[in-house]
Parts: sequence; structure tokens; C-alpha cells
Amino acid sequence: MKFADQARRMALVLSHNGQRLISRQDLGDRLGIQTRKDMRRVDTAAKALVKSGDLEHAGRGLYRYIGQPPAPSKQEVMWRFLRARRLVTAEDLQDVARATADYVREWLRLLLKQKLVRQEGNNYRLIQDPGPEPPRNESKIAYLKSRREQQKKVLAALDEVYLDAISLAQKAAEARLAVSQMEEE
Amino acid sequence: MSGMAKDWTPLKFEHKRVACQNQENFEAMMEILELGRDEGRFGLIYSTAGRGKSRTTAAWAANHGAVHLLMLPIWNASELGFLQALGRELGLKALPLTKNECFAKAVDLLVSQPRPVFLDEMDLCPRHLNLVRVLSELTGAAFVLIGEKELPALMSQNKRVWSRVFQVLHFEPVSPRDIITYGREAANLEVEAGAAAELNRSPGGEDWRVIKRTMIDVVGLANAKRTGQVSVEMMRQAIKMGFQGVKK
Repeated sequence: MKFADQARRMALVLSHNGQRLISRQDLGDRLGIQTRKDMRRVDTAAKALVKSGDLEHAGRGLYRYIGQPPAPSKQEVMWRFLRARRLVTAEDLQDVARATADYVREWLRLLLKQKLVRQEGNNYRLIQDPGPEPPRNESKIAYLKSRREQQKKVLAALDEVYLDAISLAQKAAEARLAVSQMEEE
Repeated sequence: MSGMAKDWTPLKFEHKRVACQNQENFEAMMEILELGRDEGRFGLIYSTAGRGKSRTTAAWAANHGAVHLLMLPIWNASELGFLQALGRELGLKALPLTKNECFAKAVDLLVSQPRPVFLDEMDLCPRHLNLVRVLSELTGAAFVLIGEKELPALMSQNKRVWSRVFQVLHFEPVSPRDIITYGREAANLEVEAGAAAELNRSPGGEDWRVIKRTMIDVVGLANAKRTGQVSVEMMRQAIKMGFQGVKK
């Protein structure tokens, strides 16, 4: 989750759904900010939230939450509904989360793979309930993680090439200078 | 609207959830309950089974981050089971093993993140009505109690509980008006009032599953007759087809 999104969520929680004022310091604390330098990130996020109409100034270092609570994701909605009903059809999930048939089918496939639901004809029954947090697509997360690591390695290798190229260019420039300054005999 | 036409475009059925009267009344109820924020208050939804109370409230709760908890009769013996289940729904990771701690944690979570709490089949756990009242008073959260016809009587026996009921909603059975709207929304059909009443009167005609199944048969018949107008006769035929399907 982006820092700005984290800040928005935290502002909503701290404000008790818009009922209390939020201090800059509290927001920083809850976002795990430890240094004065890092507080700049909080100020930038707060500034962006004021601009987007989620926060408004309420005194020095104080804000009031005036935005709408962030809408839950489709997966969150489907998961909550499935937990409440225990037995659902793909159509039910489409209706409730306003999701496409393909999206719902793919999500249900993930749940089947994780053995959280069992298919009974057109119905899907919840057979294991790990709690209110929607299940994560671990294989996708692992794939994205390995891709990010690969990307990091490639960037590091390119940095090395770049540094080598700079040092070569420097040597070439020095050699050129030396040659140009050679006294004619 | 599709009437008799030479260039007939076959009708397609696409299941859609229509905003029936119950749905509209429920949305209005939730808006009113939101106005009384910070006051301990109850909403009450009741009717006989199969009218969509649980589905409607679960869908609302899923979209609004509210808590939806199915009450189990085994919790009548002790409050701990109920409080642990509530704590889990509120986001507690490690569930306390004592009632006191569980209660305190649930209060903390509802105070720090206020949200409505739906307790489904509350009539099965009448012993916890007072506990729910105290939770509502301490946290200011709205508790919506859902149950069958007996629930209002159970609540009215307890004056402290009854005086905090802000909103009461009775879920009505599906009406011919709802069937007409469903036919139009799902398949662009013009269901005659008599035809809608015929389906509504037939066995299972107040159950959305049966209505949906019959409407799929109606679409087949309408396409065969190349008309979008659903007469009483056509509806009778579709209802009959549904029964034959059940016999198989």
C-alpha cells in the first residue's frame, strides 16, 4: 500500500470516522515515523489529503477528517459476504460486489485452490474460515516479489556497467588530455 | 420494450438484483440509524424466513465494512462464545479467554472504529439482549437485530432494550410490483399485472429463486412466440414448466 493510502486510512481511524481532530504527531506515530526528517513524508501526505478534500486544517498541526471512508475492494466485499452467508453462488458475488463474472470466477478458483471453499453444483460453501482478512493470492505475491528482486539485480548490474563506463570515459578523457598536452618534439 | 416485431431480436435473460420495496426501506432505515451516531441504539428487522433479510443485510454489511454475525443457540449457555465471535469479527487476532477481557476489547474496538453491527437470528439468543444493549450504550454503535416474528415480542419484554429501538422494519413478501420490475430489468419483458399476480400466487412465488427460474422459462416462451409481452396464459405455462422440471 502506498504511503499516502496508509496515511488516509490512518487518518480515518484516528479521527474515529471523522468525529475527532487528528494531530500531525499522532498521525506520524501511527505511521511508524521516528525521525524529524521522516515527518516530512507525513506533511507531504497531509498536504495531499487536504488537496484531495479528505482533510482540512483545524489549527496548528491539527486536521479534521472530512473525506469519505475508502470504499472496500471487490475482494473484501466478496469475502465478507461469503463469510456472512457461508453458501453463495458466483451470481450472488457478482451482484454484491458489482464485479464481472470473470473476476468472480478467478477469485473463486483461488479460494478452491486454497481449500477455503468447496463447490457444490452452482454453489460455493465456505469450509475453512481464517478470519475477516480476505485471503491473499500467495503465488501471485511470490511471483511479483521474485520479479521485483530480479528487477533489482538487473538494475544493480546496469549500475555497475554504468559506473565502469564512467570510469572508462574518465580514463579516456585523461588520456586525451595527456595526448593533447604532449609537447611537440 | 419488445412487442411483436418482424425483425425479432431474441430476448436475453441476465439476472439482476432489483431494488424491491424491502431493499429501499432497509436503506432508508440505515440512513436514519446513522443520524443517531454516538447514541446506543437498536434497529430491528423481522419477518418469516425466506424473505431476504439475511442476504440484504449481509450485502450491506459487506459493502460498508459493518459486522455481520450469525447468532448461535449454543451461545445461550455462556456469553464468552458470543463475545469471542464478536471480537473476531471486529478484528481481534488473539481471542481472550475470559468474558471480562473479551468484553473490554470489543468495546475498545467499537469505540476506536465505530461501525454498525448486525446480529442475525437474534431470536435464538434472547439471553444476550441485555449484554448487547450495554455494548451499544458504551460504544455508541448501532446494533441491528434480525430475527423471525418472535423477535419484537422478545425485545418488548425488556423495557430497557425496547426503549432503545429506533427503527423497526418488517420484511414484506415479494409483491407483483417487484416481479414486474424484475422482468423488465432482467430480460426487458413487459409482464402484465395479472401475470405477475399469477406467479406471485403460485407455490414458491414469493421466493426469488423460484421467480428467477420461472422468468428464465418465460424468456424461452417469449422468444418462441416472438413477443416481449407476458400474458397470464404464458406465465401459467412457465409455472407449469417449472413444476415439470422439479418432478424430473
